[in-house]
This record gives sequence, structure tokens and C-alpha cells, in this order.
Amino acid sequence: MEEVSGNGKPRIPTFGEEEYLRQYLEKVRIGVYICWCGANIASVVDIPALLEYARSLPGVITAEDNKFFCSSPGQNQITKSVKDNELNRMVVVACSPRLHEPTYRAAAKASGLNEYLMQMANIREHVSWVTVDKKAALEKAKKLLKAAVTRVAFQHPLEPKKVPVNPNTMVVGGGIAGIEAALRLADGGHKVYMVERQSSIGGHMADFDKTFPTLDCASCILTPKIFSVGRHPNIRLLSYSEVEDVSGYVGNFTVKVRKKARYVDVDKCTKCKLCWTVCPSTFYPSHRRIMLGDKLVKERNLREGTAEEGKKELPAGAESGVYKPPIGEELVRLKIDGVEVEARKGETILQVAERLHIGIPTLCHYRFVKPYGACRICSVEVTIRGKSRFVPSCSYQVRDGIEVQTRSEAVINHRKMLLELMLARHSDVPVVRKLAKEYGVDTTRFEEMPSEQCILCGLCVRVCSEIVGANALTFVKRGTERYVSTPFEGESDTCIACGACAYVCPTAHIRVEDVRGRKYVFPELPLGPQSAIHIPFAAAIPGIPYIDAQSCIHMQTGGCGICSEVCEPDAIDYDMEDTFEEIEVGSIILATGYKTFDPARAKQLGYGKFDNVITSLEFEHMSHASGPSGGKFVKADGSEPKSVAILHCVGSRDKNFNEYCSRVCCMYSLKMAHLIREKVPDAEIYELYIDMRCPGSGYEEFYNRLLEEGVHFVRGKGVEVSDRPSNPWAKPIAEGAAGNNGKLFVRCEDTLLGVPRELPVDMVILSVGLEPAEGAEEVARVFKISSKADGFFMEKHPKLAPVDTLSDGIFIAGCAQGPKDIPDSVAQGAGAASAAMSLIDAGEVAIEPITAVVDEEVCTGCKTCLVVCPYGAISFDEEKHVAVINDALCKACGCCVAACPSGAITQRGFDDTQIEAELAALLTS
Amino acid sequence: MKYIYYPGCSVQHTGRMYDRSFKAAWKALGYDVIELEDWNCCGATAYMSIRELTSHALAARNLALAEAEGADVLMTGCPACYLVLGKTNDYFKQDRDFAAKIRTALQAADLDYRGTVEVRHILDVLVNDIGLETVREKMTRSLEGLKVASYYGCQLTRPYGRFDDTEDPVLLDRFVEAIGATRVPYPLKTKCCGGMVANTDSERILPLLKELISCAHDGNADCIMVACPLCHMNLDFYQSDVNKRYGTDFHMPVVYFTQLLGLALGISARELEIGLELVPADKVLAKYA
Repeated sequence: MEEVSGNGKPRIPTFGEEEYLRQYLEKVRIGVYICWCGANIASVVDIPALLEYARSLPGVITAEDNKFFCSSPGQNQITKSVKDNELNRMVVVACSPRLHEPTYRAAAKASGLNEYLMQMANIREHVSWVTVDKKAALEKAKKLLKAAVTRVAFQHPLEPKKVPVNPNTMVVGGGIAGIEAALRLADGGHKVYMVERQSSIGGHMADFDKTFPTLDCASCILTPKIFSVGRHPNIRLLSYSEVEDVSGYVGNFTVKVRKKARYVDVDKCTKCKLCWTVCPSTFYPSHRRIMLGDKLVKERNLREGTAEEGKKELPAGAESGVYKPPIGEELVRLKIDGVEVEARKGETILQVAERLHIGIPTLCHYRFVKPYGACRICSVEVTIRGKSRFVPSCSYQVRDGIEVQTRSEAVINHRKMLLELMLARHSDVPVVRKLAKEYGVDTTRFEEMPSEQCILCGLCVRVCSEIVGANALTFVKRGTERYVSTPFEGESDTCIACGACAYVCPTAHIRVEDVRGRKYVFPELPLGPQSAIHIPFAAAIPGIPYIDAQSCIHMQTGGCGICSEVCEPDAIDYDMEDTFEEIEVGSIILATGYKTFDPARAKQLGYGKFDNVITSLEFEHMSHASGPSGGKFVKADGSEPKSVAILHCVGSRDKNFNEYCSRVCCMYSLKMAHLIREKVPDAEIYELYIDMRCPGSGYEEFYNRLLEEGVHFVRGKGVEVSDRPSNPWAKPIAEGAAGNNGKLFVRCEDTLLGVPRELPVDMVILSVGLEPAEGAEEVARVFKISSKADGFFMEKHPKLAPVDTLSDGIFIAGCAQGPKDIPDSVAQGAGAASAAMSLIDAGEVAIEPITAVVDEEVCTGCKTCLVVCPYGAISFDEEKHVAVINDALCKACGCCVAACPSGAITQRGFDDTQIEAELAALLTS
Repeated sequence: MKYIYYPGCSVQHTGRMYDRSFKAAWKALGYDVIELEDWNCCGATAYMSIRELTSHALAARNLALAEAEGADVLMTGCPACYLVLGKTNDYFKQDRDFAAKIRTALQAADLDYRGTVEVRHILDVLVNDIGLETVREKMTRSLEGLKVASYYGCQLTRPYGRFDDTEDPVLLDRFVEAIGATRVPYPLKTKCCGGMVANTDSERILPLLKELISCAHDGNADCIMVACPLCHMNLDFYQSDVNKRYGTDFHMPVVYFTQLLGLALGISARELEIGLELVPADKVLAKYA
């Protein structure tokens, strides 16, 4: 029977060869084992009749039944039966092979049979569970049984191949799920590579203020984990990196990682923070306009187009770069305020004074541009050879033997006079008023003019010309008529909207504004520094900044370079380019997270139209102590809202957007209500919900707590937000619905009262749902895993294998698999880590032997199979001129088998004879 | 591309100025208006809720006639006609059983329909086919200074939203800007005017009309601009009733967008039938006529 054909593989008898077939089948001894599955099968399928039928089939030596063959007595029965009857094939007629194939393969093995000489017929999912017609059930069960019996005769033994497992793991995504997975593995002594797309790890959790239901501060519980990842000897963190390509198979993956240029040398940077404190360019808000008084200088969306497109050809002759004072080595001696000091030739009095911590007020001074001496407020008294005079200390270079008075009565009087003059023209400018107050100047003796914001210090003009090199601003006219404007008074062509002018302007006459005019809230508003070189939030790991190429002045114009100038360890490298690294790992954990629903898609909710309609994520930013409002809950104008509506299910449970429930919104909405209650105790808070979904440890209790806290729960979906009431019959909850003085009106149907309502509120928070992360499709493609209809990654089994994927060795965790809260994400992270660990600890992995195989003698080398293989498992041997299939990569989909024009490819366990035999049995009675 | 115009019943009588101004404006833009021969009721009456299939058959007769005349597009100014004709057309294309029934019904009148006609609103055609650029080029006067509240009503973009956003339509506002006028914020732009309830219980719709008119009034609008004869009728006819019941003193003229288009194209107020409305619009429009 184990006849071997010429090319070394077991010969398959075909239906043409009658005599050979007869002899072959005579040697086949099959046992049929029919399972009752308790009442699951037996209540519908007539088991005795089926047994009798089985016994009548050729090749069947014995047919037996058991209430539960999967139980240990049942398996013992099989073993005994196989041995007693000297069987060489077996058929188990029971449930789905997806459930119990491993069990019965093990039973076959225990009985001394090759595992692949066992075949299952599924009469539970395919028969007893789908019909109540007993007659039809028996008929179908008979057919399935016959097909399995006929097929098993032609099956031959197969041996799983074992391959070693690389003990290293890659975790993609540095949110809480990925962090948990990485730490579990690393603590277990395994090497982990963590790849994170952002410049630092922490994910969305780093954005949150408090977490439900315990109200732990998110940072407090997250940062210890972030730090552990950062300093763990077994974890290599590849931040600001993305996976480009994955090849290989379970236990042996090769991952190509693109390390994006962050323009800061990770090894050299000492995290001194100086770079972002001096950076004159801002990266927030991205869609901005530069305003000079009421005049628009430039409007630009930094996130539109690439950094390359944003680049400006500088006008010829434009200077740009950092001003370097001509300081020599030669020393001079001078006296400042009676103290004898040494200074280097070329230094200004201001520089020397600053070194000595002598305070000299300045208005038009900025250390990176040439001294200008416009405001004269820094004037000091210099005495040379007995003659004294006033000079601006910012531009006056020290000389040998001079005496400098910075605080003499004459100097103070001089400054007072200047301040009186300034007060006459700039009485409303805070910086002038503050300085005047310091010098005790309350009133001015000069004729007061209407207050002007611009004090004509010229910083903006000089920065734009010397540092940015754009020359977008200039002085117009002379003398008392002088003012700053753009060339020809229009919107500037050369302005790159870097915001450097606003950064240096001492009076806020020039401003960077969000085009949406929002002051306090913005989705991308960072918790960290807002300059072009920055870290995303204070406790970021790695705490090494990166340069945002779209907002960096140097990247846009070639000018500036201030950060590079001040960086002592010389870590800034503007010419840095993306680099690639190939990493070999045995398993991969994908924890790529989610993005929140963009509520601008639901226009009726007024997001983007009304400043006081914000998303829950914006609320988190605002609530955060290091957020834009310092943790205060405020409206766009900075005042406190007295009434707030929280709209649930925005983008979720909605056929127009996502049909699924985002699972976390009910709970975080409760948390927001609690935080608002803390911040504004007398605020009226409305929760507009469809259903409250609070399953989880302590969740329902938290809901009850909020019910006690005096939050109004209105059962009804908030359907529209408007700045004007419209329904004359709607039931207002609070008084004051008639006037709309800055109020927003939320429309809903109160389904408990059965009335339409219009709630007048000051602020609306949209509890946005969760969606697959940006680029999730691309991730699925690169890692060759499947996605569900909603775009989240598909697990191997929704209940029994939630962290596995259909690609062996690739696991998923956290919101990449579907919306979930922090505890669930952490649990999945740990689960994925344990799945990876069991792979590592096994040391080797058995590769399913049911794969496609090429008959090299028949293969013509046409390469058709190479094109159709979705898993990249087929390569081409140029020397032999044949296709070669990598067993470990082959997923036995059969595409190449069907595509092969010469029939050289067959699939083990599914060859033509087996399939034809099965079909023939199914289709004939 | 052949466009055929379906007037509908409203614009024959109460909304006459809509029809006249549309035809005049189209002519000024350089297009002939071909009216559908022998058209009948679109079916947008209470009939739809009594005998649905029959009313669809009524609508389909118009589509069949248009197809026979070789129309690619059947355009109408009335959102109700637009909706019902469009609905019938949609069902016809999507549902084979429905199509078979309709074709059987049409056979009784020796007609057939194959589903080749597209139903469009004239605003859609104006903005998307003719283009506001063309309007700007052909304009002879700008309506600068006129403050317009654009009222879309309920049916123009809902439920279909084929040519504008369902919840937040903007095309009328873009049109207002194109003719040089100023648009005022009108948050109630898609709210109900009371519709046909006016016919049976006009008292009932007064609260709605009061909200709509006062919203325009509060926004300092000179007029409310509509694209629906029913909206026009309710807002215009019942404005005095609103004033009586609520003690208000509204004089908010209601005009069709085609009338303003006509003015911008240099057509006389008389030809556009400005002045036929009950709340006179000629005062605010005098400057442009």
C-alpha cells in the first residue's frame, strides 16, 4: 500500500487504473466513529441508521458510536478500536474540524496511525444544527459520511515539518497595549523590538487626563510603564519609525523598518530642552494665518502638501542665518556699576551685563538678530575719559577702560522719559505698561494719542529678513508715519507662515491664529512645547525632540538654524535622511491602535462651525493640567460654561458612519461629566445617550455615582446642534431657551418622555467613536493579515483565538482588533505576549504539511504560479528553471494549483484523486 | 445632453413668478427652455399615502414622456416634484418587480419607460452644469449690498443630498455670493415651513413660520430666498397672520432664487414678476431693478 512512485512520493491511484485501484482498496481498513455530541447531533440524526449505513460502505471494517468521542473515554475507545481491528484509516463523524480536528488527529497518533489518515465529517454545524427535518438530516449525514470514507482511502501519511523559532519579538505600536506586550516579553527575558510611528511612545493614553472608573490620572499610571520601556535592557525602541516590508514566516520573519529622519541625533542629544525654548517657529495650529494687526499676512495649511512643496525659493539677495556677534579673543577691562570686569572685544555691554545678571530692560533686542537700537530702553551711561553719554547697551561694544552705569539716576530718568513717550502712544500695550509700572511711571506729560499696538521695534522685519530670509515684512513711510506692513500691502507671496515674527513680537501685534479662530481647543494641540522642534508631551519617551519639517524655517527656506547654533552637543542634523534596518524576529505583535471619528463628517452637529462644539479628545487635552488652558474647562472665549451637553454615539451605532458600538464612549462620557462637575461645580450637565453601556469592573457603580452627582441623563440621541432654537413645540429643560445669547441648542427626542427637546447649553462635547487607525489597511497589507468589514484587524477566532491572526506568528492586541478600553487593551497586550512566548518557549514550530508541492519534472518554468501566490511563498530556481514553494510560507490556498497550466503543482491532502473521490461520493447516491 | 423642463402644478398658479423668472433667466443665460409636452401631476399629493403604486405610475408617465422626447435630464424647480419624480425613477432602476408593474401601467397609455432619464433640480443644473462662473460672466449688475437669507426647506437635499450636503446645504449661499449679494447666517435653513399642513390647518404652521421669519429678521436679512413654491407660499401668504397672532411687525419679502438670478442678468423686475408677492419685495430690490 505504501507504494512509492518513481519520483519518490507515494503514488496516487487514479480512477482509470481499475485493477490497481481494486488491489489498493482491498488493503484499506477504515474505522468510522460517529459522535452523538450529547443531544446536539443525536436528537436530530438517527445514529443507529447512520451506523448501519457506515458498515455497509466498502473498506469500512467497523463503525462505532459514543456520546462524546472528544472525551477521554471516547478517545480510548478509538485507540482500542483501531488497534483491535488493525485499521489503517479512520473517519470521525462529529463536529467541525475547526473545533476538534487537533483532538482526533491526536487520537489517531495515539492509535499508531499517521494524523493525516484521519478525516472528519461535520454533521453538527452542517446538519443537526441547521435543520429539524430528521429525514433530510439522515440523508445529508450519510452523504457527508460517504464522502469522508471514500476520500480517506486515498489519503496518505504526511509529516509536519519543524522549523526553529527566532526568540525575538517585534511589537508594532507603542500605545498601552503594545507597551504591556513588550514589557511582559522583556521581563520574561526575551528581546523585543518596539516600532512606533510617532516620535515617542504612550499612544492615545498619553492624551488622557483621568481614566474611568477609578479616576486615576492617566499619566501617573502610564509614565512608569513608558519609562520601563525606555530603560529596559531587553527592549530596543525604534521611535519615529514605520514597518516597510515583512518577509518570512512564523518563527522566522525579516522586517524592514524605515527610521524616519527626526533631524536630531538620538545618540548625541542630551535632552537639555534648549532647542525648543529658542525655536522661533511654531507648528501649531497647522491651518493658520499670520495676522499683522487686522491685516492678513499669510494663510497656510502646513499639513496640506508635502514639506517639499511648501519650500520657498528665496528672493535673490535675501540674507538669512543666525547673527553671530563679532567677538574676538582679545580681552578688555571695564567697570560696570563700579565693578571691574573683563570682557572680550566685540561683546556688547548688554551681553556683559547679562552674564553678570545685571538687569537691563529691552524691547527691540533678540539675541539671534543684529542689534538695532530702535527702542533705546536699554540705554546706559558710558563714561570715557571723564566724558559721559547715553548709549544703547544692546549695540555698544565694550572698550578698554570705560565705565558703565546701568542704574544711575540719570539712566533711570532717561528710561522714565522714554516710557512716558511710549505711554503717550502705546498706553494699551501690556509690555509698555508693565515696564512703566516698574519704573513708577503712571502718567505721561505728553499729549496722549490713540493707543497703537505696534511699537516699531522692528524685530519682526529683522527676523523675517535675517533669520527666515523671506522679507515678507517691511517698514513703510518714515518718521511719525512709519508702520510695518507687507510689500504692496497685500497678502505676502514670500511669507512661509512660520510664525517667527509673532514669536519675537513683544506686543502681540503680530499673531499666529488658527483659521477656525479657536483660542483654547484644538485636536492636535500638543501637551508639550509648540515649536517646530519639539517633543509631544512632557514625559515623552524617548524625550528626544524631532523637527517638524513643514513648520521648520530651515527646512522651508534654508535660513534660521538657531537650534543648531545653540545645541552644545551638535545633535541637530538638518541633512538627516530616512534610514532602513532589517530586523529578524520570530513573532510579531500588532498593536497599532485607533483613530477617533472625525465629527466634521456629521455636519448637523456643528463641529467646526461653532467654536464651543468640541470633541471628547479635545476635552481630554483641555482637562489635562499641561494642556492649553492649564486644566481649566473653558469656552472658546475663555469664560466658564454654565451648561454642557455631552452627545453619545457620535459616529457610532449609526448607519451613516459606523454601525458598531465603540464600547468606551459611555464610560468616558461619564468620566467627562464627573470632571466637569469637579471643575465647574454649578454647571448643568446633560448626557444624551441611546443606551448606557457600562459593563466592566466598577463601571455600573460609576454610572450610579454619576446619577447621584446631579447629571441630567436624557435618553435620546443628540441629532442637531444649532445656534438658534427652531422647534416651537420642543420642551426646553431650562429657562432662557427663548433668547440665544451665545447659547447652542441641542435637539433630541427624549424617548422616555416621548417629546422633542431643545437643550440650551454653553458647550457641546461630542463623544466620538473609535475607528481603525490611520493607515490600518496598509498595515494589514504589509503584514498579510485580514481586516474585518469595519476595518479593524481580524482575529483567528472571535472567542477562542482573539489575539491570533490567520497568519501564524502574527498576533494582534488592543484597539487594532476593535474598540476597547484600557483594561481590555492591557489584557490583550499581555495575551499576545503570552502567545508569542509560547511560540518562543516551544523553540520550534510545526508547519502544516498540507501545502502545495511542485513536480519538478513536469514544471515548465512558466512562472504563472509566482504571480498568483498571495503569500509570496513561491520563488523561482533559475538554475533548474522550476518554481519552488516554501512550505513554511504556503497557506494551502490552492491558487497556484488551479493556475498551473501544466498540472505540475498539486496540494498535499487535496490532490485531484482525493477531491474527485470526495465529489463522486457526494454527488452519487 | 438634452434638458427638458417639468414645471409642476404649483408654478402654474401660486408660484407663477418662479416659472416665469426661471424661463427668463435661462434665456438670458443662453439656453432654451423646452417644456415637457402634456405633462401631468407628479403625484406629490396626499395620493402617495393612499395608493402608492398608482401615484408612482403617475410620476412615471412624465418620465416616459420625457424619454420619448429624447431627454437626458428632466429638470424641475419644485423640490416636491424633484423628490417624487426622483423617487419613482430610483425605484424603477433598483426594483425589477416595481419596474415591471410600472411598465404594465404605462402600456395602458401606449407608453414605455426604460429608465434613461435623470431627474434634476434646476439649482443643481445651474450650479453644476451651467456653473456659477458662467453666471458671473453673464451678469450685468451685481446685487451688492443685498442681504439674503437662503432658505433651503426640507426636500431640496433630503433625503437624497445628490447635489448638496444633506444636513448642511450650501449651494444657495454660493449662488448668493456669485451674484454679488451678501449672505446672512440662517441657521434654520433646512427647517420645516409647515408644508401642506397649511391647506388644512393654517393656524398650526404659524409658530414654525414665526421662527423662520424672525430668524431672518434677527440676521438683518433684506429678504428670504427660496427654491420651493410651497416654502414661498407659506412664508409669504401667512406672514400677515404671523404678525396678527404674535403682535409682530415683519415685512420680510420672500423671493425665488431665479428672480435674483434674473435681476443679476439684467432682466426687468416686471418680467421676473417681482411685485406679485404679498409682502412686497420691490422696495428692497428697487436698487437692482
